[in-house]
Amino acid sequence: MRVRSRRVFDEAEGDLTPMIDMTFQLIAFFMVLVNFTQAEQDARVDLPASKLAKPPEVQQEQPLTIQLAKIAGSDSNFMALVGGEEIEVGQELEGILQRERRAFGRMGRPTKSVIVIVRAHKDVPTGKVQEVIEMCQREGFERFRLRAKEDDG
Amino acid sequence: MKIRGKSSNKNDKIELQMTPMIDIVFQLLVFFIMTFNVVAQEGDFNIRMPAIGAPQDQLEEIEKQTLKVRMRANDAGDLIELKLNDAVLSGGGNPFANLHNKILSKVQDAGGPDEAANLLEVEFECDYDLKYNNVIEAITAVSGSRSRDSDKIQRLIENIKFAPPKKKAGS
Repeated sequence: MRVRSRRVFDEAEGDLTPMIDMTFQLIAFFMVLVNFTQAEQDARVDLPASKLAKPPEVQQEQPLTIQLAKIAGSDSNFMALVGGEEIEVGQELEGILQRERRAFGRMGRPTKSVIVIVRAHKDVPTGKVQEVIEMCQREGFERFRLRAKEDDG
Repeated sequence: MKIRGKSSNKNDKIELQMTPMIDIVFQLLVFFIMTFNVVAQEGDFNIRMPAIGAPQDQLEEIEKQTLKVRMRANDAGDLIELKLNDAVLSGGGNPFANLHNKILSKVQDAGGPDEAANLLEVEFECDYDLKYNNVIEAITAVSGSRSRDSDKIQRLIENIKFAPPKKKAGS
């Protein structure tokens, strides 16, 4: 009697469930951290570092952020950025500040109470920063904050 | 003759195809990794600068002693001289460390940071071309210090203002 042994071919199956779990964890992590808007933190602004720079504990009510960024390819030219718009520091910026003043007025916020955050590149001439502050003062803004990045060194 | 048709085995396993879902999940993961951007923490220094032409009675009643910090720059915008009132602090060592030590002794003479907040203020007078980096270092030096061991910040003077910038003659 010929006995034929049955050959059983088993398929090797890897369990992918833990890998999918980890992948979803990573996706959730990056989704929470992703920030698509660069309007308030332009990469062209390299802030000066300071050991005392700590994030404010109290979130301020919608501030006005003015950035002074270095123009690529130029050693001495800097442009202002307000809400993502590139503006020359001069009459154009004055016009934007007037527009912002009117906008805050419509929201019922006097310019005295509005905080102006100045994010300036570390190589900007100080005089230019002061010109921007002066323009803001002419529109009635009084509260200013100079922003710096944290220095861990 | 009873013909039994092939009936579906009720115990058959329904298998879901996971491969397309894993593909899409990895696509999303790569997308989010590519758009992830690590930024350093940022902090603010407060300056109070009244609107131009503000009436006198809106200003603070108590007259504060003003400590004038004068910073001069070369054509490249680098700091070449730092003075506190008439004392030159950029002669030797780190000028900002010297400034910090001088401010510290002024605050101690005034009776501590709480009293200094009412009595002392710092006015910065900078050359137009001075790089902004130097101003932030100077503000850091007069505002306080942070010990390496703990996160505590020792505050010094927080009343800071700016004098109009000095432009070089001929510019």
